[in-house]
Amino acid sequence: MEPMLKVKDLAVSYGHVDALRGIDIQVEKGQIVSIIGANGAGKTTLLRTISGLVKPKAGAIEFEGQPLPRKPSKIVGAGVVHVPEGRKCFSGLTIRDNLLVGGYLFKGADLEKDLQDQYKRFPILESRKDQFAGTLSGGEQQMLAVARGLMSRPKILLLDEPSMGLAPIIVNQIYDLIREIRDSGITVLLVEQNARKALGICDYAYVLENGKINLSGSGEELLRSDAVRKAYLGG
Amino acid sequence: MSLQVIINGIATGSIYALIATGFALIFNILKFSNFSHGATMTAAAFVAYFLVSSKGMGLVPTLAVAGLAGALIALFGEFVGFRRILKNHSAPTYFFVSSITLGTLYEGLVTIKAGSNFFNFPSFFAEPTVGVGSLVISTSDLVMFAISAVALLVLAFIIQKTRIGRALRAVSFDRDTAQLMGIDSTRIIQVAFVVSGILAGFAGVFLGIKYTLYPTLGSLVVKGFIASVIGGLGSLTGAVVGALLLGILETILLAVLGSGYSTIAVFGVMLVFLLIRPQGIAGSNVQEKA
Ligand SMILES: Nc1ncnc2c1ncn2[C@@H]1O[C@H](COP(=O)(O)OP(=O)(O)O)[C@@H](O)[C@H]1O
Ligand SMILES: [Mg+2]
Repeated sequence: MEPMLKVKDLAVSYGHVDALRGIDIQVEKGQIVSIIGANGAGKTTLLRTISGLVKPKAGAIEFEGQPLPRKPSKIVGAGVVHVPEGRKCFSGLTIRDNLLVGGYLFKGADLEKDLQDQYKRFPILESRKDQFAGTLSGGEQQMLAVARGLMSRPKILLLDEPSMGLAPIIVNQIYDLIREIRDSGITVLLVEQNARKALGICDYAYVLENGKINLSGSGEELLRSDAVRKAYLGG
Repeated sequence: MSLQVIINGIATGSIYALIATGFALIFNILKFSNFSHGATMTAAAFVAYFLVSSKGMGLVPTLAVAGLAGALIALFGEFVGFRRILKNHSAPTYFFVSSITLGTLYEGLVTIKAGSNFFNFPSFFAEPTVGVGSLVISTSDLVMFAISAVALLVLAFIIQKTRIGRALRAVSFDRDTAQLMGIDSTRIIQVAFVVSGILAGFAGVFLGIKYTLYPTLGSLVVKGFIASVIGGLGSLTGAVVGALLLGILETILLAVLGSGYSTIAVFGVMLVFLLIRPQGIAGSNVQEKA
């Protein structure tokens, strides 16, 4: 079967600095695929390139067998939805407005139903819906960022370091949520520095180092590999 | 202090509020000051004067044409002056240069057509004043206040309650992240320019009614600029409050000190205010880029 998302020989540079070179990645429908790598490896750049915020220097991105549109707004419309690093909630907008902005491409009864679905999934967001997003804790903001992403009706959700800066117990909640999202039929591309967590949850993983994919395999394979253990799991 | 003076002040302040919000809308979304806003006001008012008012048509068609002209001029400015700069993430200085250049261009075009003459809008109202109890209010002040108030309330409703308004706020907050929600930020920036242009057109006509129409009328934009700084750059509500305070302060000082010293005193008071509270009334901490 054709993979859902296919990144082929992708290269990205910022001015004269190469951030990504020769990236080949495939994501099968219904799976969780992880990309792990150290700070500065190029993980965020990869997601921003897929979601159209950064223009590639070379290479191609295909989604469901078609070239992905180039404009970010069209890419979201195609079902590729990116929850950015650092949550990026609109802190001066209410929680409800954050969610409605997430559902920008939908209107009327559809939008209202999606909103109620997210309130059901995240009761904390409903109970505080008229407060500014900036008043939420880090973990709650991550929930809001994911809920806002789900409001865009993704076929594939790109998550950039959802565990960043969160207490272990909250990280576990987030990972339960990621599993739940996958089980509801949404494919997940998960980017993490937290290699143990990301490899534990995924069906397949890639290791990104200095802008290049150096290793790939199933989560268990990589958890067992010496190279990964040394570099990412503390021996 | 007589109530009469306060009422005049509010009338003047409501025009400043139109200027200040038009200015603040663009500041919010691009984080730079659009120095062509004043010349946009003048140009739109002149277009309406020559096409409509001078042919004997009334205030409503004049405002409609001025609003339309302001919107088109602002759209032109967005496309020619700002879009490329934004796309290339160029230094803020370029915004400064291109907005000042555009403003000079508009003013130059107006001067070619109008010379350095003064033009009077025809008197739009049969009765120059209306009496409310013991107060005598100029009809034009009353109408300008009412129209400004309605325009600002409609704007507030759009920004707070509609889909496009939410998108505008999201793009103003974080352009990249808003795009990740499927929002076409270029389109939303165009909407902001259109709204800002309509407000500029209204303000231009009102200033023309109040002070006569002349090619450098747009320099009064500085009042709107001051109002939005006092209100707190980045806050539309703050801009309106700042504009009303400025209008009232000006009218009071004019009544007390006469026209010579009052202008100086107004700026003096504003400088002191900004020394005490540099973040303005609303106090948001937006950093100015240009
Ligand atoms: N906007 C930018 N301009 C210039 N260089 C950048 C920019 N964003 C990222 N980089 C550089 O690209 C490389 C990859 O960064 P990034 O994709 O953020 O990595 P990661 O998400 O894995 O930490 C780093 O060397 C970083 O300094
Ligand atoms: Mg990153």
